[in-house]
Amino acid sequence: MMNAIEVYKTQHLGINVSEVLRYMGVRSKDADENMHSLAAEAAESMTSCCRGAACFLRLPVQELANGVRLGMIAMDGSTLKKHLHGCGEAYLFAATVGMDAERAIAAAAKLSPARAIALDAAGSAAIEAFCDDLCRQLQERSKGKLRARFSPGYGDLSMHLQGDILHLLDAHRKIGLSITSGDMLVPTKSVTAIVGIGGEE
Amino acid sequence: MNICDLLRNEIVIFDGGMGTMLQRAGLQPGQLPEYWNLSHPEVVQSVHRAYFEAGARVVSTNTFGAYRTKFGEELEKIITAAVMNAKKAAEGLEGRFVALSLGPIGRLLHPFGDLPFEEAVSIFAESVRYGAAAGADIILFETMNDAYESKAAVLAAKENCDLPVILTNVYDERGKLMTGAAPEAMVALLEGLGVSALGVNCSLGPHQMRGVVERLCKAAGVPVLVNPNAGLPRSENGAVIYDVTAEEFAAEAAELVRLGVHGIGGCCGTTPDYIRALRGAVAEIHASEITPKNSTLVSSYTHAVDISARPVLIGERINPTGKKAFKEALRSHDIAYILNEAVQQEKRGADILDVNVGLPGIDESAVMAEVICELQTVTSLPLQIDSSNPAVLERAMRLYNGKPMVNSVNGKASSMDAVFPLVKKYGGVVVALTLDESGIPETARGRLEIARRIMERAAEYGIERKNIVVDPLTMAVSASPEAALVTLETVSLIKKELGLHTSLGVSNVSFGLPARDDLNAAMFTMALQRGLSAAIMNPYSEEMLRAFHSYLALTMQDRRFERYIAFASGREAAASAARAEGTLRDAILHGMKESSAALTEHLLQTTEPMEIINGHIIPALDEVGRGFEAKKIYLPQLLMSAEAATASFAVIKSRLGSAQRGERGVVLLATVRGDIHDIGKNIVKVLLENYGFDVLDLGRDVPPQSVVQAVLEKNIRLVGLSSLMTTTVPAMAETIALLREKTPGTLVMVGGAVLTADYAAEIGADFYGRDAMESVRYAERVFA
Repeated sequence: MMNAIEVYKTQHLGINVSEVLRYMGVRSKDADENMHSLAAEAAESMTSCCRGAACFLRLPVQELANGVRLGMIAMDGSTLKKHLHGCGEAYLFAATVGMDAERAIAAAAKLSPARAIALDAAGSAAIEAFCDDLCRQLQERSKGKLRARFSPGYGDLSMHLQGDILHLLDAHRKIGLSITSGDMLVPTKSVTAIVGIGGEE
Repeated sequence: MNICDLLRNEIVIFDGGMGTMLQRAGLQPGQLPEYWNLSHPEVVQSVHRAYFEAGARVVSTNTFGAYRTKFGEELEKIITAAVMNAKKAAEGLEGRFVALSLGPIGRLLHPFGDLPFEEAVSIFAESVRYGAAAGADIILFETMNDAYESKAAVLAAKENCDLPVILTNVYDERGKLMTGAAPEAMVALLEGLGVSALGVNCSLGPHQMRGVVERLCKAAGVPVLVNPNAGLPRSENGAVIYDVTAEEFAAEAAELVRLGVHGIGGCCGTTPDYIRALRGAVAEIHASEITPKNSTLVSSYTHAVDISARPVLIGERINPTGKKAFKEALRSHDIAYILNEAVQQEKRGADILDVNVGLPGIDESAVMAEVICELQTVTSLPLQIDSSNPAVLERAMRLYNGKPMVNSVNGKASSMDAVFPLVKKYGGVVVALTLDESGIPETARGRLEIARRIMERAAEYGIERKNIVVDPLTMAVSASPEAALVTLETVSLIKKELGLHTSLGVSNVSFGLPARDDLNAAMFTMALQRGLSAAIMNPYSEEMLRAFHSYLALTMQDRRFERYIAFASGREAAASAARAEGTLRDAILHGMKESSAALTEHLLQTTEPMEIINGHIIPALDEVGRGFEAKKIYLPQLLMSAEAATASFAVIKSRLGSAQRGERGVVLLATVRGDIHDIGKNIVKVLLENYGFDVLDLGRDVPPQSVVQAVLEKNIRLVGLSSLMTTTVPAMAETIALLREKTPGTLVMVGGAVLTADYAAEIGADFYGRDAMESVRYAERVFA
């Protein structure tokens, strides 16, 4: 039994200005004209440079004493085990909005921190929107209802798992996603996650 | 026939997927296929044999991820076994070749990732040496999705073996690499580095590759190799199925061969059946002739600029000559100042940026390397590396992500012998000055002869004429009235008699005369009319831009007047953005950069600089800072005000040479090792500078030793460390520990999203800054 690592891509990521303001830490009602145009300009430029790309794999879930096994990867963590309890299978995915977004944020960080904050916020809104979109796509092809996505760093699930996940998904080759020695994903506006499929909760 | 001749003259069949075949034989997802060279040699050999029997002339070893980063001590054994497996499969067959297949290392290179360029070169080099020693015939880098890593790979191969080097990239649906490079940019880069063939593989099926393949064949003067996937994979009844059949694949791949492709095989999902069908489909197709391409291309990590297509502007502002503020920025290591110059020139329409950082008392080589790398994080324009020191040129040409323009070589034997080997090795378009041991000839003929000699000497080094751009030198008409005419005549002669492109530093012509921009613009137009291809010029000069855009519009080189109209409307917009209305205080409070700068200019006519700082800027900043501390103002607003204040300071600084703010002290800032997120650190930097502190910014992903070294060298009292992730906080703790050991008197403040006051105390920091203003207040206390 072997499943294919599949790739999903889209250029159309709706970035909502009020979401951007929220990630900037600004309440919409407090945002003056300047703040609004900063957020709107960031949303617009990130819309043009973000391209969602994800690779995913459907795997059987096997419960372990203190965690679960997904394919080759044993994942220690009671929160994930609880989260996936009752799921026979899960999707493992890695998603990114790409290097162009990374470059735009990094350039702004050197030239204008205010703009960098706005672009960074827009990038966060973009990757969240893309993950939502991806999960809708995954839901369409699954019989059971999908659970909320669960990422390394949530609960007691180690961030160090990200390297194993990228390796299993061949993510560098398929979507250009890699990791630093400090376990940071690059491009930084990226997510790895596990999505349980169906079963009794 | 060797493989290079074969590829130039015939259609050469390569093999198909290896992973696909090994998975069928039982390899599990996540297992490393390279180990099978040792554990299942008979399986690997039978895959190679099946491809040879299907008609492949070249098979690729099972070494796609064979690097010391994954296999450590076992690497040599694995690569040797892999090459042996392929050679064994070729036994008894004539005219077959074994390519050492190598893919990406799997980590992103500096500055976006944390793998240093030279480390990447060294990782590739080790695998190349083992493969060559084991008897591989070709080094084949495949599936490379980053231009910079591609450069590291080819350099490593060239420096460590004499085998032909082929590199194929992965392009996406947009026809770009994942890190942004267009096909023409890759052709410029890879041909500059001397590959024997280049191309595209993986990711897409043959049909979707058509656009990229067309562009590669059009641009490349070397054979093109294409290895498509069997379409897209999907899961079906517990098996992986690809959606393009062998017959469809073969028919579509044959179409690519008709476009001019010389090497064709398959990647993911293809099997010996696909290669057999492919061989049948291309059997009757004659290899098209590979013609030399004459475009003069320089490139960045995204695109190529074709100097032969239309005249280009080379921005000259990154150069300390005659610029007080620039010299000051270089001495104080103010990289942001230089980056800003780059971005402004790009906005003004420069096509290429000249980069010169030569200044007595600084380490030109180190600064050039740093500036070249940093510039490529804020601009995608190709760069012209400008130094009189060949060692500086070499380091920068090596580290540059693309095919650079190189400024310059001249007719002296010593200059040619120093510069041409670099151009040959790293690739580049070199600017050739028409002067030699006896100086600058006074006549156009004399300069032409030097250009001819340079061209001939370059050919001996294997440098094509398209990669030479001649600068026939502009001299001041005030010193010798015939100077402009001689230069213009030389431009014509070089174009007519040698067929070479030309570049001029136009502005020298007006030296010593008033209203220089007017003369420069006229000279520029006259030179363009004579066929000038490039000008090294000041993109801030309205007159020069007007001359340039008008010339293009009038000579059918701006067909729908798009550039001209954009230029005209850009001027109006800039004028309205920088209105000097309202008060400086309001402009800063509302974060209006352009207005703040304009109002400061205005105030300087009537007010002393120190009065502007203490009476206008500082009070406005204090008001914003207090508002932030009282939670009435948000961080982005605080920053917009800070940036507006920075724009004011910059105006004052350009008048004074320095802002003379009274020295409040130097704070060292760094984002710790392994952490590449530096927005937080940069926020603190801007605010500290606004409050009159000098900041020594070490950047991101900074090792503990580098922090300690800088503290010792510059005698730093206060260090600020930033870390975004829980996984990088240990590096922060390590940095603090090393500081405590080596520089016990230094104070350390820390900040970052995952830190808390308790955690900061636990790792030994003196102060935890919850936000950027708290860091400023702490610095004020430290230096009070």
